[in-house]
Amino acid sequence: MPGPLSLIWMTALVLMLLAVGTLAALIVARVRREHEERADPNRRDRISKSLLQFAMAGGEQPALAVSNAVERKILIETALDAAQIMRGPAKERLVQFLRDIGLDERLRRQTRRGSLRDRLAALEALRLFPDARTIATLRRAEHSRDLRVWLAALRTRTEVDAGPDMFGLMELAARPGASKSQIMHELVAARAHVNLLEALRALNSARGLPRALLIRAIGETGQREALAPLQVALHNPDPETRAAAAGALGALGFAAVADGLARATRDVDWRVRLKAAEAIGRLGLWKHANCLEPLLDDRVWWVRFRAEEALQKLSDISVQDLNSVAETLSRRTHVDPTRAVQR
Amino acid sequence: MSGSIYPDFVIAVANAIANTVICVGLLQNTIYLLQLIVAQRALATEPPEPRVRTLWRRTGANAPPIALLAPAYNEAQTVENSTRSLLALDYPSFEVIIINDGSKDDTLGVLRRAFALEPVDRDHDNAIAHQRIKAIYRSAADERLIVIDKANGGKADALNAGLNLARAPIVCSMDADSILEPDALLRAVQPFVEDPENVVATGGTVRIANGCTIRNGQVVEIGVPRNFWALLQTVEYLRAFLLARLAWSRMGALTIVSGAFGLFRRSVLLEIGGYALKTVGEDMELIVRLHRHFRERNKPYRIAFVPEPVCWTEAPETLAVLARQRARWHRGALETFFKHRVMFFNPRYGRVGMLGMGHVFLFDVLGPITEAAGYVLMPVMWLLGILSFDYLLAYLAVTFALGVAISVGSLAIEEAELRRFPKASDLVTLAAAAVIENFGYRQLNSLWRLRGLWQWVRGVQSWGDMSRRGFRSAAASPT
Repeated sequence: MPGPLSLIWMTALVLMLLAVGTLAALIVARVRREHEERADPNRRDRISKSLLQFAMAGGEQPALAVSNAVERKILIETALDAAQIMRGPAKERLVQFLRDIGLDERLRRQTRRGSLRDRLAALEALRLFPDARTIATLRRAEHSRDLRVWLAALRTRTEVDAGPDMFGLMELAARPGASKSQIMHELVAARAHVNLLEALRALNSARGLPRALLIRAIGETGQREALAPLQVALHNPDPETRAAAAGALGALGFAAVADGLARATRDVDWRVRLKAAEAIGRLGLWKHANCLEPLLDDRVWWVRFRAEEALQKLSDISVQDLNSVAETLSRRTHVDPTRAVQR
Repeated sequence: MSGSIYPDFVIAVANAIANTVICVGLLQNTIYLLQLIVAQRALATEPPEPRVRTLWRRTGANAPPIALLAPAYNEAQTVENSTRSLLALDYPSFEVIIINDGSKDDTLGVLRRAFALEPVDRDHDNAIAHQRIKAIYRSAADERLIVIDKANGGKADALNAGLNLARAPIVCSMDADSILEPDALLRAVQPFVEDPENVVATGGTVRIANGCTIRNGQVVEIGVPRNFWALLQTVEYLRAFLLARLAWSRMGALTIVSGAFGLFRRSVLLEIGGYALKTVGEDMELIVRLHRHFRERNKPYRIAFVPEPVCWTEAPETLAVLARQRARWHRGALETFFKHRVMFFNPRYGRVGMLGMGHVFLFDVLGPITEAAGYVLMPVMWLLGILSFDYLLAYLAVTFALGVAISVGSLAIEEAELRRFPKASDLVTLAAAAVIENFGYRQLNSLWRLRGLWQWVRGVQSWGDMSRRGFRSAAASPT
């Protein structure tokens, strides 16, 4: 058994070794990276050019390998950019070449190992290879506990037209943290745009934060069919839902919702009051400006601030409106209508 | 322990001193190690969003207006560039309020000429008392710039004047000679946007600008300082911000947001009476007072630290100025601790009282005394034959090894997650500094902190001369 003195020395030694080892590894990794960059300063240009030339004109396959991590990264970035603008035979040739050099297989493997950055990059790049194996890989990645990983997989699956319907999206949005993600918001919004009816049906079964997410997405469609369901949602017992509905009604852009929004400014939950104030300002409902006045003394600063902002917007709108009305009417009747308005 | 020629009580006292020094030292290093783990996990699980475009998309529409409050005292050398860099920030809605705190040099003249300042009347709150405002100016060239010319009252007093004049719901306190990265506000405001009900303050990382290339008030190329003292401070800042603040923030016990860069909800600062005047550590005092205010009223609140918004500051390059700065910082920490001592280990104040104030006690109250005792008394005890040489050597070895491991750990986090230093040679230099700083610099720091303790005991209140070279000359150095 080592004595206490030996233990102290061993601790010191292990700590020093760990520190020196870490330092050495960091420096070696950095030096290697710099060395590679120096050895081939135009590598990015060279790879991009040869890949694009081959895709556009065909001919002999360029000598590009996927074993080198940096070259693989450049290859993926170039291919992803090119795939967005390429169509037809050029795109097919590009994808086939990438398959021939084994990039698809490597990417599928990369989704399961390596750093988080590498895994996310691989999940994004897999959209170049929309086949059954890719979809299986993506579905597997969706079981990851890391939000970023499974959302990246879901986005790619949607991009290769194998994404879930709105009901499936709502189930996924119920996973921890998902409904606050920008990616999830974009996916739900895109799906709602494509199929509003399905989104409205999903509204009946969705609960909590996913429902709020869905309501926001429905509001962004700007379609009149969404009006009635959103007005109903404004009376939901869940404050998150009511706040989302108030915001969505503002985004939807129909002035017919004015009374509902005016009532929402008196809601017990500050988030609902906030969204209602924003919506009133956004829709230019200057007849309801008086609903905003009590909010200027709200206990939550964010509500006070948004109410003030909305009032500023309304005052701009009303002055503009009055001026334009005055101009139009005075041309017709030669009277000053602002006097009547002032009365 | 050995030494039978001494009476028992001498041996007992020596034992007690040695054990206290060892325990405090080990406890400090264990806390550092814990911080290292928490910070690494925090950065690995939530890496900073690299793209400004994404930040704009997420935050742009909801971004609350911000008033930047930059007190300036004798900053004629740097104030023009700093102001230009502030006006060039990427943020949808902000105004810059420079507070000329009775400068004796030409700070106001420089601003008047550079920004075509014109006197204006501006209605403002008088919620907090401060020294007399002589005049308020607005720039004819850029209406987002306001300059307050006031009688000298110190940094806290200047910030209070700025708080009264600001109209935005969020204020950003900073030093006029600091440089914010263009996206710093957009990043630092995230917690306010995500959790507007609870977040009352956020802080960002402060880094050393010495050695960087600066053009038009912006850092265009990052480099390591050539000055030895500034280089050591670079590693020290990495440790303080990437490790300590990030970790304490995650544990809900952050007791300081740097005065060089912090965002606050203005209404809350007015509610608690703004910055305290009779302290040299007004930034730390403010945060501890915020904690105390909300805890005593059982109100929910959150003070967050966001690692990626970066503020660049010029570090002292001479030992004399550095010594004064460190003594002042230490004095500020002690003033804050004893002013709010009721919070120390008081469960009513939750983690802040138990962890945050406990940490201040361990590092700032006990720390310099035990460290100095360790460095001075332990060799003396060994010379007197009271202490075993083998144990003394082993203790020193483990202390230095822990110090090196922690510094290297913070550098590793920086390299793995942020990779701000562009060249491998920078990394080698910093790695060397991470080792070297444990042999001499840390001991000097203990000495300066002891001096701060002594000044606090004597009730010294001065800031001391903090002369700087200015970013323009720093920029001239080749990189």
